[in-house]
Amino acid sequence: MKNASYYIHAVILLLLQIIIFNNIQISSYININIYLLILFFLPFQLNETIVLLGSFLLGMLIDISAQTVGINTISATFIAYLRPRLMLLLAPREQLDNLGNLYKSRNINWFFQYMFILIFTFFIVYNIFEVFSFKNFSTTCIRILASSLSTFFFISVYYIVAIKQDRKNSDTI
Amino acid sequence: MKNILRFIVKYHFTLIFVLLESIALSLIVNYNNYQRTIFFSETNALFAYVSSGFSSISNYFYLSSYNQQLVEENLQLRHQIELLEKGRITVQNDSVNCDTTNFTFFSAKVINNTYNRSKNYVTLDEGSNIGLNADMGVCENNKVVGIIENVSPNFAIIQPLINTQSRISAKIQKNDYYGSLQWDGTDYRYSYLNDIPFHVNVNQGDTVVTTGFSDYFKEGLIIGYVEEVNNNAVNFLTIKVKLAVDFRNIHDVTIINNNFKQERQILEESIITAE
Repeated sequence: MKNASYYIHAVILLLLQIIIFNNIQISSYININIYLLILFFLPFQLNETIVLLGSFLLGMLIDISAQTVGINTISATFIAYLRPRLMLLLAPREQLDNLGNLYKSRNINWFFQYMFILIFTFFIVYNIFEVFSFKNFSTTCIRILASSLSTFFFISVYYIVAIKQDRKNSDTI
Repeated sequence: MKNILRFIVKYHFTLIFVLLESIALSLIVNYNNYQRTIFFSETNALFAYVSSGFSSISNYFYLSSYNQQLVEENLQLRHQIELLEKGRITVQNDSVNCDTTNFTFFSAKVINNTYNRSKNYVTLDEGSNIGLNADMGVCENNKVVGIIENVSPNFAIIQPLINTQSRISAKIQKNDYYGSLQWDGTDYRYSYLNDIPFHVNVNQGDTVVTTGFSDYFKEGLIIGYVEEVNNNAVNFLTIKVKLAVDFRNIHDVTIINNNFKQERQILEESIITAE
Protein backbone atom coordinates (compact mmCIF):
# COMPACT_ATOMS: atom_id res chain seq x y z
CA MET A 1 0.00 0.00 0.00
CA LYS A 2 1.41 3.36 -0.89
CA ASN A 3 1.84 5.88 1.89
CA ALA A 4 -0.85 8.33 0.83
CA SER A 5 -3.37 5.55 0.35
CA TYR A 6 -2.46 4.07 3.74
CA TYR A 7 -3.09 7.37 5.51
CA ILE A 8 -6.43 7.83 3.78
CA HIS A 9 -7.54 4.36 4.86
CA ALA A 10 -6.27 5.02 8.38
CA VAL A 11 -8.34 8.19 8.63
CA ILE A 12 -11.44 6.46 7.20
CA LEU A 13 -11.07 3.55 9.64
CA LEU A 14 -10.60 5.91 12.59
CA LEU A 15 -13.66 7.93 11.62
CA LEU A 16 -15.71 4.76 11.09
CA GLN A 17 -14.64 3.54 14.54
CA ILE A 18 -15.22 6.80 16.41
CA ILE A 19 -18.39 7.94 14.67
CA ILE A 20 -20.14 4.65 13.97
CA PHE A 21 -18.77 1.59 15.72
CA ASN A 22 -18.21 3.25 19.11
CA ASN A 23 -21.85 4.29 19.10
CA ILE A 24 -23.71 1.23 17.88
CA GLN A 25 -24.75 -1.19 20.54
CA ILE A 26 -25.61 -4.52 18.94
CA SER A 27 -25.40 -6.51 22.16
CA SER A 28 -23.52 -6.25 25.42
CA TYR A 29 -21.45 -9.20 24.21
CA ILE A 30 -20.23 -7.56 21.04
CA ASN A 31 -17.58 -4.87 20.60
CA ILE A 32 -16.45 -4.00 17.11
CA ASN A 33 -12.99 -2.50 16.81
CA ILE A 34 -12.42 -2.06 13.11
CA TYR A 35 -9.58 0.42 13.71
CA LEU A 36 -7.25 -2.51 14.40
CA LEU A 37 -6.83 -2.88 10.63
CA ILE A 38 -4.62 0.23 10.78
CA LEU A 39 -2.13 -1.77 12.86
CA PHE A 40 -2.37 -4.89 10.71
CA PHE A 41 -1.35 -3.08 7.56
CA LEU A 42 1.67 -1.27 8.97
CA PRO A 43 4.76 -2.23 6.93
CA PHE A 44 6.75 -5.08 8.41
CA GLN A 45 10.01 -3.13 8.00
CA LEU A 46 8.77 -0.25 10.15
CA ASN A 47 10.71 0.11 13.41
CA GLU A 48 9.07 -2.07 16.08
CA THR A 49 9.38 0.60 18.75
CA ILE A 50 7.54 3.13 16.58
CA VAL A 51 4.76 0.58 16.01
CA LEU A 52 4.55 0.01 19.77
CA LEU A 53 4.33 3.73 20.56
CA GLY A 54 1.93 4.26 17.64
CA SER A 55 -0.46 1.57 18.88
CA PHE A 56 -0.28 3.00 22.39
CA LEU A 57 -1.32 6.41 21.08
CA LEU A 58 -3.94 4.91 18.76
CA GLY A 59 -5.46 2.92 21.64
CA MET A 60 -5.46 6.03 23.77
CA LEU A 61 -7.22 8.02 21.04
CA ILE A 62 -9.96 5.39 20.82
CA ASP A 63 -10.17 5.24 24.61
CA ILE A 64 -10.68 8.98 24.83
CA SER A 65 -13.47 8.83 22.26
CA ALA A 66 -15.11 5.73 23.76
CA GLN A 67 -14.54 6.73 27.41
CA THR A 68 -12.93 3.40 28.26
CA VAL A 69 -9.75 4.87 29.74
CA GLY A 70 -6.77 2.57 29.26
CA ILE A 71 -8.54 -0.58 28.06
CA ASN A 72 -8.02 -0.11 24.31
CA THR A 73 -4.54 1.25 25.07
CA ILE A 74 -3.42 -1.85 26.97
CA SER A 75 -4.90 -4.25 24.40
CA ALA A 76 -3.59 -2.44 21.30
CA THR A 77 -0.09 -2.19 22.80
CA PHE A 78 -0.22 -5.88 23.58
CA ILE A 79 -0.98 -6.93 20.01
CA ALA A 80 1.62 -4.49 18.69
CA TYR A 81 4.14 -6.41 20.78
CA LEU A 82 2.97 -9.75 19.38
CA ARG A 83 2.63 -8.57 15.77
CA PRO A 84 6.22 -8.90 14.42
CA ARG A 85 6.71 -12.32 16.05
CA LEU A 86 3.42 -13.65 14.73
CA MET A 87 4.12 -12.37 11.20
CA LEU A 88 7.47 -14.15 11.07
CA LEU A 89 5.77 -17.30 12.26
CA LEU A 90 2.95 -17.29 9.71
CA ALA A 91 3.99 -15.50 6.57
CA PRO A 92 6.22 -16.21 3.60
CA ARG A 93 9.11 -13.78 3.85
CA GLU A 94 8.70 -12.24 0.39
CA GLN A 95 5.11 -11.19 1.18
CA LEU A 96 6.11 -9.51 4.42
CA ASP A 97 8.22 -6.99 2.56
CA ASN A 98 5.28 -5.83 0.50
CA LEU A 99 2.08 -5.96 2.53
CA GLY A 100 0.41 -3.40 0.27
CA ASN A 101 0.40 -5.70 -2.73
CA LEU A 102 -1.00 -8.71 -0.93
CA TYR A 103 -3.99 -8.97 -3.27
CA LYS A 104 -1.65 -9.91 -6.09
CA SER A 105 -0.45 -13.08 -4.41
CA ARG A 106 -2.67 -16.12 -4.32
CA ASN A 107 -1.71 -17.27 -0.89
CA ILE A 108 -3.01 -14.63 1.45
CA ASN A 109 -4.70 -17.05 3.85
CA TRP A 110 -1.91 -16.39 6.30
CA PHE A 111 -2.95 -12.73 6.41
CA PHE A 112 -6.47 -13.62 7.55
CA GLN A 113 -5.06 -16.10 10.06
CA TYR A 114 -2.72 -13.42 11.35
CA MET A 115 -5.56 -10.89 11.61
CA PHE A 116 -7.83 -13.33 13.43
CA ILE A 117 -5.18 -14.38 15.95
CA LEU A 118 -4.36 -10.73 16.72
CA ILE A 119 -8.06 -9.77 16.98
CA PHE A 120 -8.70 -12.73 19.27
CA THR A 121 -5.70 -11.84 21.46
CA PHE A 122 -6.80 -8.22 21.48
CA PHE A 123 -10.24 -9.17 22.82
CA ILE A 124 -8.83 -11.56 25.42
CA VAL A 125 -6.81 -8.69 26.91
CA TYR A 126 -9.64 -6.21 26.33
CA ASN A 127 -12.31 -8.28 28.08
CA ILE A 128 -10.11 -9.37 30.97
CA PHE A 129 -9.29 -5.74 31.77
CA GLU A 130 -12.85 -4.61 31.21
CA VAL A 131 -14.37 -7.25 33.50
CA PHE A 132 -11.29 -7.15 35.79
CA SER A 133 -12.20 -10.37 37.57
CA PHE A 134 -12.27 -14.09 36.85
CA LYS A 135 -15.81 -14.51 38.13
CA ASN A 136 -18.30 -15.57 35.42
CA PHE A 137 -15.41 -16.53 33.22
CA SER A 138 -17.70 -18.36 30.79
CA THR A 139 -19.54 -15.09 30.03
CA THR A 140 -16.19 -13.40 29.46
CA CYS A 141 -15.25 -16.20 27.04
CA ILE A 142 -18.49 -15.73 25.08
CA ARG A 143 -17.79 -11.98 24.93
CA ILE A 144 -14.27 -12.60 23.65
CA LEU A 145 -15.49 -14.97 20.95
CA ALA A 146 -18.49 -12.87 19.87
CA SER A 147 -16.46 -9.66 19.67
CA SER A 148 -13.58 -11.36 17.81
CA LEU A 149 -15.85 -12.91 15.20
CA SER A 150 -17.84 -9.75 14.54
CA THR A 151 -14.73 -7.54 14.39
CA PHE A 152 -13.08 -10.07 12.06
CA PHE A 153 -16.16 -10.03 9.86
CA PHE A 154 -16.25 -6.24 9.52
CA ILE A 155 -12.50 -5.97 8.99
CA SER A 156 -12.64 -8.62 6.25
CA VAL A 157 -15.52 -6.82 4.58
CA TYR A 158 -13.61 -3.54 4.70
CA TYR A 159 -10.48 -5.24 3.36
CA ILE A 160 -12.27 -6.88 0.45
CA VAL A 161 -14.51 -3.95 -0.43
CA ALA A 162 -12.25 -0.97 0.11
CA ILE A 163 -8.61 -1.90 0.05
CA LYS A 164 -8.65 -4.58 -2.65
CA GLN A 165 -10.83 -2.51 -4.98
CA ASP A 166 -8.77 0.56 -4.34
CA ARG A 167 -5.55 -1.26 -5.29
CA LYS A 168 -7.03 -2.84 -8.42
CA ASN A 169 -8.34 0.50 -9.62
CA SER A 170 -5.03 2.23 -9.11
CA ASP A 171 -3.28 -0.58 -11.01
CA THR A 172 -5.53 -0.31 -14.03
CA ILE A 173 -5.05 3.45 -14.13
CA MET B 1 27.16 -1.01 34.23
CA LYS B 2 28.18 -2.10 30.75
CA ASN B 3 26.13 -5.24 31.17
CA ILE B 4 23.09 -3.29 32.28
CA LEU B 5 23.38 -1.04 29.21
CA ARG B 6 23.82 -4.07 26.98
CA PHE B 7 20.75 -5.65 28.57
CA ILE B 8 18.70 -2.48 28.01
CA VAL B 9 19.79 -2.20 24.37
CA LYS B 10 19.12 -5.87 23.72
CA TYR B 11 15.68 -5.93 25.31
CA HIS B 12 14.61 -2.33 24.67
CA PHE B 13 11.52 -3.44 22.73
CA THR B 14 10.25 -5.61 25.60
CA LEU B 15 11.19 -2.98 28.19
CA ILE B 16 9.29 -0.26 26.32
CA PHE B 17 6.37 -2.69 26.00
CA VAL B 18 6.34 -3.33 29.76
CA LEU B 19 6.58 0.40 30.44
CA LEU B 20 3.67 1.25 28.11
CA GLU B 21 1.52 -1.58 29.53
CA SER B 22 2.21 -0.32 33.07
CA ILE B 23 1.13 3.17 32.06
CA ALA B 24 -2.05 1.75 30.50
CA LEU B 25 -2.76 -0.35 33.61
CA SER B 26 -2.32 2.68 35.86
CA LEU B 27 -4.73 4.60 33.59
CA ILE B 28 -7.28 1.79 33.90
CA VAL B 29 -6.96 1.60 37.67
CA ASN B 30 -6.93 5.36 38.26
CA TYR B 31 -9.63 6.53 35.89
CA ASN B 32 -12.25 3.75 35.98
CA ASN B 33 -14.23 3.54 39.21
CA TYR B 34 -15.16 -0.11 38.81
CA GLN B 35 -11.63 -1.35 38.11
CA ARG B 36 -10.20 0.90 40.85
CA THR B 37 -12.53 -0.57 43.48
CA ILE B 38 -11.66 -4.14 42.55
CA PHE B 39 -7.93 -3.44 42.26
CA PHE B 40 -7.60 -1.75 45.64
CA SER B 41 -9.79 -4.22 47.52
CA GLU B 42 -7.69 -7.11 46.17
CA THR B 43 -4.37 -5.42 46.92
CA ASN B 44 -5.57 -4.41 50.39
CA ALA B 45 -6.50 -8.01 51.15
CA LEU B 46 -3.09 -9.16 49.93
CA PHE B 47 -1.36 -6.47 51.98
CA ALA B 48 -3.33 -7.37 55.13
CA TYR B 49 -2.39 -11.03 54.63
CA VAL B 50 1.30 -10.21 54.20
CA SER B 51 1.39 -7.79 57.13
CA SER B 52 -0.31 -10.25 59.49
CA GLY B 53 2.37 -12.76 58.49
CA PHE B 54 5.10 -10.22 59.25
CA SER B 55 3.59 -9.29 62.61
CA SER B 56 3.45 -12.90 63.71
CA ILE B 57 7.14 -13.18 62.84
CA SER B 58 8.01 -9.97 64.70
CA ASN B 59 5.99 -11.14 67.73
CA TYR B 60 8.34 -14.09 67.89
CA PHE B 61 11.23 -11.75 68.61
CA TYR B 62 9.46 -10.29 71.63
CA LEU B 63 9.12 -13.72 73.24
CA SER B 64 12.02 -13.14 75.59
CA SER B 65 10.53 -9.94 76.99
CA TYR B 66 7.12 -11.66 77.34
CA ASN B 67 8.89 -14.46 79.19
CA GLN B 68 10.50 -11.95 81.50
CA GLN B 69 7.10 -10.39 82.21
CA LEU B 70 5.60 -13.77 82.93
CA VAL B 71 8.42 -14.70 85.29
CA GLU B 72 7.88 -11.47 87.21
CA GLU B 73 4.14 -12.05 87.30
CA ASN B 74 4.72 -15.59 88.54
CA LEU B 75 6.90 -14.31 91.32
CA GLN B 76 4.25 -11.81 92.27
CA LEU B 77 1.57 -14.51 92.25
CA ARG B 78 3.68 -16.84 94.37
CA HIS B 79 4.08 -13.99 96.81
CA GLN B 80 0.30 -13.53 96.88
CA ILE B 81 -0.22 -17.25 97.53
CA GLU B 82 2.13 -16.99 100.44
CA LEU B 83 0.16 -14.05 101.81
CA LEU B 84 -3.15 -15.87 101.26
CA GLU B 85 -1.94 -18.92 103.07
CA LYS B 86 -0.99 -16.75 106.00
CA GLY B 87 -4.45 -15.16 105.83
CA ARG B 88 -3.07 -11.68 105.43
CA ILE B 89 -5.28 -10.58 102.57
CA THR B 90 -8.99 -11.02 102.43
CA VAL B 91 -10.77 -12.34 99.37
CA GLN B 92 -13.60 -10.35 97.91
CA ASN B 93 -16.32 -12.00 95.89
CA ASP B 94 -16.01 -10.62 92.37
CA SER B 95 -19.47 -11.42 91.17
CA VAL B 96 -22.30 -9.16 92.17
CA ASN B 97 -25.89 -10.32 92.17
CA CYS B 98 -28.21 -7.49 91.37
CA ASP B 99 -31.70 -8.43 92.38
CA THR B 100 -33.21 -5.36 90.81
CA THR B 101 -31.90 -6.09 87.31
CA ASN B 102 -31.76 -9.07 85.01
CA PHE B 103 -28.00 -9.03 84.84
CA THR B 104 -25.14 -10.56 86.83
CA PHE B 105 -21.65 -9.13 86.52
CA PHE B 106 -18.26 -10.81 86.75
CA SER B 107 -14.83 -9.29 86.50
CA ALA B 108 -11.77 -10.71 84.77
CA LYS B 109 -8.39 -9.69 83.48
CA VAL B 110 -7.25 -9.76 79.89
CA ILE B 111 -4.29 -12.08 79.49
CA ASN B 112 -3.94 -12.17 75.76
CA ASN B 113 -5.16 -9.93 73.00
CA THR B 114 -4.74 -9.59 69.25
CA TYR B 115 -5.70 -6.51 67.27
CA ASN B 116 -3.94 -6.86 63.94
CA ARG B 117 -5.68 -9.86 62.41
CA SER B 118 -8.98 -10.08 60.65
CA LYS B 119 -10.27 -12.54 63.26
CA ASN B 120 -8.97 -11.09 66.50
CA TYR B 121 -9.53 -12.71 69.89
CA VAL B 122 -9.12 -11.66 73.52
CA THR B 123 -8.35 -14.20 76.24
CA LEU B 124 -9.53 -13.74 79.85
CA ASP B 125 -8.09 -15.24 83.01
CA GLU B 126 -11.46 -16.53 84.24
CA GLY B 127 -13.65 -19.31 82.92
CA SER B 128 -16.55 -21.59 83.68
CA ASN B 129 -15.26 -22.04 87.25
CA ILE B 130 -16.66 -18.63 88.24
CA GLY B 131 -19.78 -19.06 86.08
CA LEU B 132 -18.70 -17.71 82.71
CA ASN B 133 -20.34 -19.21 79.66
CA ALA B 134 -20.31 -18.74 75.92
CA ASP B 135 -22.51 -15.91 74.57
CA MET B 136 -22.04 -13.55 77.49
CA GLY B 137 -21.32 -9.88 76.74
CA VAL B 138 -18.02 -8.31 77.79
CA CYS B 139 -17.46 -4.64 78.63
CA GLU B 140 -14.77 -2.35 79.90
CA ASN B 141 -16.17 0.54 81.98
CA ASN B 142 -19.57 0.32 80.23
CA LYS B 143 -17.89 0.24 76.83
CA VAL B 144 -18.52 -2.83 74.69
CA VAL B 145 -15.56 -5.15 74.09
CA GLY B 146 -17.23 -8.23 72.58
CA ILE B 147 -18.93 -11.54 73.26
CA ILE B 148 -17.53 -14.68 74.89
CA GLU B 149 -17.08 -17.32 72.23
CA ASN B 150 -15.74 -20.22 74.23
CA VAL B 151 -14.82 -21.06 77.82
CA SER B 152 -12.62 -23.57 79.61
CA PRO B 153 -12.66 -24.01 83.40
CA ASN B 154 -10.13 -21.21 83.93
CA PHE B 155 -10.12 -19.19 80.73
CA ALA B 156 -12.52 -17.57 78.33
CA ILE B 157 -12.06 -16.39 74.76
CA ILE B 158 -13.86 -13.28 73.58
CA GLN B 159 -14.79 -12.48 70.03
CA PRO B 160 -14.20 -8.72 70.17
CA LEU B 161 -15.86 -6.05 68.02
CA ILE B 162 -12.70 -6.11 65.90
CA ASN B 163 -13.38 -9.57 64.52
CA THR B 164 -14.79 -9.70 60.99
CA GLN B 165 -17.35 -12.29 62.12
CA SER B 166 -18.68 -10.07 64.90
CA ARG B 167 -22.17 -8.63 64.34
CA ILE B 168 -23.65 -6.49 67.06
CA SER B 169 -26.95 -4.71 67.04
CA ALA B 170 -26.27 -1.01 67.63
CA LYS B 171 -28.20 2.24 67.53
CA ILE B 172 -27.63 5.96 67.32
CA GLN B 173 -28.30 7.17 70.86
CA LYS B 174 -29.98 10.48 69.98
CA ASN B 175 -32.67 9.10 67.65
CA ASP B 176 -32.82 5.34 68.37
CA TYR B 177 -32.35 4.24 64.73
CA TYR B 178 -30.62 0.89 64.85
CA GLY B 179 -28.41 -1.13 62.53
CA SER B 180 -25.74 -3.76 62.56
CA LEU B 181 -22.15 -3.05 63.57
CA GLN B 182 -19.58 -4.90 61.55
CA TRP B 183 -15.80 -4.63 61.36
CA ASP B 184 -14.16 -4.47 57.92
CA GLY B 185 -10.92 -6.10 59.05
CA THR B 186 -8.63 -3.13 58.55
CA ASP B 187 -8.16 -0.60 61.36
CA TYR B 188 -8.69 -1.75 64.96
CA ARG B 189 -9.83 1.73 65.95
CA TYR B 190 -12.81 1.89 63.59
CA SER B 191 -15.84 -0.25 62.80
CA TYR B 192 -18.85 0.30 60.52
CA LEU B 193 -22.52 0.69 61.34
CA ASN B 194 -24.69 -0.44 58.43
CA ASP B 195 -28.41 -0.53 57.64
CA ILE B 196 -29.26 2.94 58.96
CA PRO B 197 -31.83 4.37 56.50
CA PHE B 198 -30.77 7.11 54.14
CA HIS B 199 -32.97 9.86 55.60
CA VAL B 200 -31.74 9.60 59.19
CA ASN B 201 -29.82 12.62 60.43
CA VAL B 202 -26.45 11.42 61.72
CA ASN B 203 -23.61 13.75 62.58
CA GLN B 204 -19.98 13.35 63.45
CA GLY B 205 -19.54 12.77 67.17
CA ASP B 206 -22.96 11.15 67.75
CA THR B 207 -22.83 8.30 70.27
CA VAL B 208 -23.44 4.73 69.13
CA VAL B 209 -24.79 2.41 71.85
CA THR B 210 -26.14 -1.13 72.24
CA THR B 211 -29.83 -1.72 71.54
CA GLY B 212 -30.67 -4.32 74.14
CA PHE B 213 -32.35 -6.46 71.48
CA SER B 214 -29.77 -9.21 71.85
CA ASP B 215 -29.21 -11.37 74.91
CA TYR B 216 -25.66 -10.21 75.31
CA PHE B 217 -25.87 -6.60 76.40
CA LYS B 218 -28.24 -4.38 78.25
CA GLU B 219 -29.38 -1.27 76.46
CA GLY B 220 -27.22 1.85 76.29
CA LEU B 221 -23.68 0.52 76.65
CA ILE B 222 -21.33 2.72 74.65
CA ILE B 223 -19.87 1.21 71.47
CA GLY B 224 -18.27 4.30 69.98
CA TYR B 225 -18.72 7.64 68.31
CA VAL B 226 -19.61 8.51 64.71
CA GLU B 227 -16.46 9.47 62.82
CA GLU B 228 -17.72 9.75 59.25
CA VAL B 229 -21.05 9.35 57.45
CA ASN B 230 -21.00 7.98 53.94
CA ASN B 231 -24.07 7.95 51.68
CA ASN B 232 -22.62 6.13 48.66
CA ALA B 233 -24.98 3.15 48.96
CA VAL B 234 -28.46 3.50 47.54
CA ASN B 235 -30.79 3.15 50.49
CA PHE B 236 -28.61 2.98 53.56
CA LEU B 237 -25.88 5.01 55.17
CA THR B 238 -22.47 3.55 55.93
CA ILE B 239 -21.31 5.04 59.20
CA LYS B 240 -17.69 4.84 60.29
CA VAL B 241 -17.61 4.48 64.06
CA LYS B 242 -14.60 5.25 66.24
CA LEU B 243 -14.70 2.49 68.84
CA ALA B 244 -14.81 3.59 72.47
CA VAL B 245 -12.56 0.77 73.63
CA ASP B 246 -8.88 0.98 72.75
CA PHE B 247 -8.19 -2.62 71.79
CA ARG B 248 -4.45 -2.19 72.17
CA ASN B 249 -4.92 -1.24 75.78
CA ILE B 250 -7.52 -3.35 77.60
CA HIS B 251 -6.78 -4.89 80.97
CA ASP B 252 -9.80 -5.31 83.23
CA VAL B 253 -13.16 -6.24 81.84
CA THR B 254 -16.65 -6.87 83.16
CA ILE B 255 -18.67 -9.83 81.93
CA ILE B 256 -22.43 -9.45 81.78
CA ASN B 257 -24.75 -12.40 82.17
CA ASN B 258 -28.39 -12.03 81.30
CA ASN B 259 -30.15 -14.17 83.92
CA PHE B 260 -33.29 -14.55 81.83
CA LYS B 261 -31.49 -15.35 78.60
CA GLN B 262 -32.46 -19.01 78.60
CA GLU B 263 -36.09 -18.29 79.36
CA ARG B 264 -36.25 -15.79 76.49
CA GLN B 265 -34.50 -18.13 74.05
CA ILE B 266 -36.85 -21.00 74.86
CA LEU B 267 -39.85 -18.76 74.27
CA GLU B 268 -38.51 -17.37 71.00
CA GLU B 269 -37.54 -20.83 69.73
CA SER B 270 -40.98 -22.21 70.56
CA ILE B 271 -42.48 -19.65 68.17
CA ILE B 272 -40.02 -20.62 65.43
CA THR B 273 -40.69 -24.36 65.86
CA ALA B 274 -44.44 -23.72 65.97
CA GLU B 275 -44.19 -21.99 62.57
